[in-house]
Amino acid sequence: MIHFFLRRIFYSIITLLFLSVIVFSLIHLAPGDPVRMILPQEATEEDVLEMRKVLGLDKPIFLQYFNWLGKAILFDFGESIQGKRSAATLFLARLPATLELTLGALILSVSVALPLGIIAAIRRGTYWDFIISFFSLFGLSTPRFWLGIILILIFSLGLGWLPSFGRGPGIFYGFIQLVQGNFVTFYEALKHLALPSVALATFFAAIFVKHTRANVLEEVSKLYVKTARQKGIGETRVIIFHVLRNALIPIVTVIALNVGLVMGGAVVTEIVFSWPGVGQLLINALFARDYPLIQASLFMVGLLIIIIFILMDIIYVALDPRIRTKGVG
Amino acid sequence: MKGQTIRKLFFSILCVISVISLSSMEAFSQPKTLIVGSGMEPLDLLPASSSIATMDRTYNIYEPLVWLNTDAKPVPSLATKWEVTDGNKKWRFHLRKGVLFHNGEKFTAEDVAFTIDFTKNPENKLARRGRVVGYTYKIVDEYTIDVFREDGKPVDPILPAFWLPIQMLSKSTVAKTPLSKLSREPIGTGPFQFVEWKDGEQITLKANDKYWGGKPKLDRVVFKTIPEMATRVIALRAGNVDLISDIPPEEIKSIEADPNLKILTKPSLANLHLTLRTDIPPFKDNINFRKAIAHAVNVEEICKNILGGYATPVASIVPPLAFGYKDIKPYKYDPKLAKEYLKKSGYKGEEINIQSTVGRYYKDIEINTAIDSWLKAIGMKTNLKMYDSPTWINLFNTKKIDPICLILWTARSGDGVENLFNAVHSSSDSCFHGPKGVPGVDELIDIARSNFDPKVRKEAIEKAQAILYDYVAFPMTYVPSNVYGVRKNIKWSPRADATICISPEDDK
Repeated sequence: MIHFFLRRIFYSIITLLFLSVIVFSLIHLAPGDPVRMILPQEATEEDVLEMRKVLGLDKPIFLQYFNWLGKAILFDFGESIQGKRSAATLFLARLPATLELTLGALILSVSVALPLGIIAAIRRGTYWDFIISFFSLFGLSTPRFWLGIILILIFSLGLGWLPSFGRGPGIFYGFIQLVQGNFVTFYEALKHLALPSVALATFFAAIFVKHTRANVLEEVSKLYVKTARQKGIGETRVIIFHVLRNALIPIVTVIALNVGLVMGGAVVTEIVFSWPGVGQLLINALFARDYPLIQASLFMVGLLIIIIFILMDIIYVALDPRIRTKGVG
Repeated sequence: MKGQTIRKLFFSILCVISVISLSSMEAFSQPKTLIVGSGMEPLDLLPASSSIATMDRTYNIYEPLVWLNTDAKPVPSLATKWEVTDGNKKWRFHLRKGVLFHNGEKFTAEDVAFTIDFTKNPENKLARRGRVVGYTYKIVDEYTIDVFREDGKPVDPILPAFWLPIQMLSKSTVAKTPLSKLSREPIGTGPFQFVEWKDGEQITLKANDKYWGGKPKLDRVVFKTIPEMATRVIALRAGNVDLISDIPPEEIKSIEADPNLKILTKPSLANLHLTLRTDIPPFKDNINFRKAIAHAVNVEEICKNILGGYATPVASIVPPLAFGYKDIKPYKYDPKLAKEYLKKSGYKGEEINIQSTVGRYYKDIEINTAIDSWLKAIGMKTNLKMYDSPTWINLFNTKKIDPICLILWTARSGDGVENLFNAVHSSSDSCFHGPKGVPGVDELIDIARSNFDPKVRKEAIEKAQAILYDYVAFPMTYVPSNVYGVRKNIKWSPRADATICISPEDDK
């Protein structure tokens, strides 16, 4: 068991090293020059060389990489060229907002998709199945930014129920306030989170519905389910305690694989809803060719996803004792 | 019974009066906040920046010596008077007395000296450093300072306005503030002072009660970051923000139709022009080819249809609001004539690249596509190449641009010679965006950059434009308008340099 996790962590470190090489070389290979992006159009060649020297961009690329890696191990990703402060600080200041949106969308999509997927499976071939499949197709094929704008038009401009942009107090802060008995702040945070998380969750809910339906259908046809039914166990119990437990493992895998995509999707959603997450920061950094900031952001997102995958492995172990005894991943 | 009625009536009136007075007191006590919906969040709030997102905020916090008014004319700011002395070798600035920084410190000549040194120091990585390089100073007294060239040559006549981005810093504070802090918490002398920066959300400024120009009427200005245009327009219509900029023509009608909103426009100091690589064939020494392009491109159509009428065709790279603009009629759209010139030019059907930006300039893809089709229509073989902003800037600055390229240039000093020098003077090595060394032009620009008589300078700038027009240096030029959507109750004036500056008189 411990051996399994140690090996997992060792692989993760290698993955991170690969990621660092890819991130570093890709962004340095991309055409464009951060120095040209900060200097005005009228800047002379002399100004450019001077600035390049100050920023350390005049050194050979591999030297720049090892300098960066040496510091990155200690979580020092250098100073943002445009922001003039620690790139890690800039990134971490934005991370809670993105995590809030990602978590919101994941919880929403899973809590909608699981019941709908199960209903579609056990009511296979009925109107229920048809309606659910239609909506999941709609969710899969709707562009996220368009859905976002339509939601704003209906719920903010039309009905005036929800704010059109921004994060408000934030759900984490809202939650602390709720514990202290202040419901208003939490409600305000929830109102801000509603539209962006719906816009982001729709696509993923659709994917999860499809997978839940397929997996439940597969499990339902297995012999142990028939045995359970023949033993006289109620249908609800069969589905929840027998079918779902086994169907969940592949669904958890799909959800885990999609966490990275949800975070990626958050970038577009953040732009539409002016959500102050890492998406906006990353896009600004990309357009400014702010190397340290791009490197720090991508590396830390990578690290986060690897941590999530390790957590998912722990969930597998909880769901499937076979992994525990066999010790394989 | 009657008495009871009167008592009831009296009581009701009293109630109404107290409700009205209470509500009006509430309105009175509520701070007046102007909310600006801004497309991009700045990455820093450093002085002497070249980023428009940063300038929008810092121009309200910091102040230069000489300010440009909304029409780009130089007006006193922290300097009340400025004059050239010592045989055109020194600019003498007389500073405003009684000015305080937001932290209560006094503004003096020491601060101006410190600002020049601070901006010049490459370690501080300030974008507009180039504007002070080569200059030094001498403090005459507490409120007078001389600025002159290190090499002893005559000073630049447009220096006061050219130093608009050189914003005055407090010596005693900034000297002991790390750059990382200064980039987040600016302290200036401007009408508004920095309060708070919520990352990715908003930057809040509050009125500087001790502002030398009088206490601002607005209590607060909040710049909210709303990157998506559609969301920005909805936020304005829903009343969540008071002012938004860069509105696309297709959204203007919906704003105009709203009884609570209005559109404000201002001709820009920016100038968009088609530049041709006259340093290499086929445009080198081939005026017929340049004329062919000038008559093939329909600039009226671009301004009217693609830009919705919010742009003006001109014939010079000096924008109309800048000093020295010469009103010349743009080249006429005449495909027949263009074909004739193309024939005369000896063009043999070589493929010519058009280099376009993507999203850097307003409607750049549409405009470049139209230009491409007009050139194809007269029989040229063109190839439209699109680049994202960073790639395009790199190609542009390393002088690797394609033979035909649409470029924007802003004369931030409000003086025509700034554009002319950068674009066409032989000694300007900033980057290629015009033919260098057109006969007679260098000399005229030199006059405008060394003479201090406005009449002589104006004449020189006008003559240079006429020569460039005959040379067909820029076959197509237009001046865009800065377009803003504003709530009806807002009193605010847009600026020619496109920065969003809130003056003490602005109100809501």
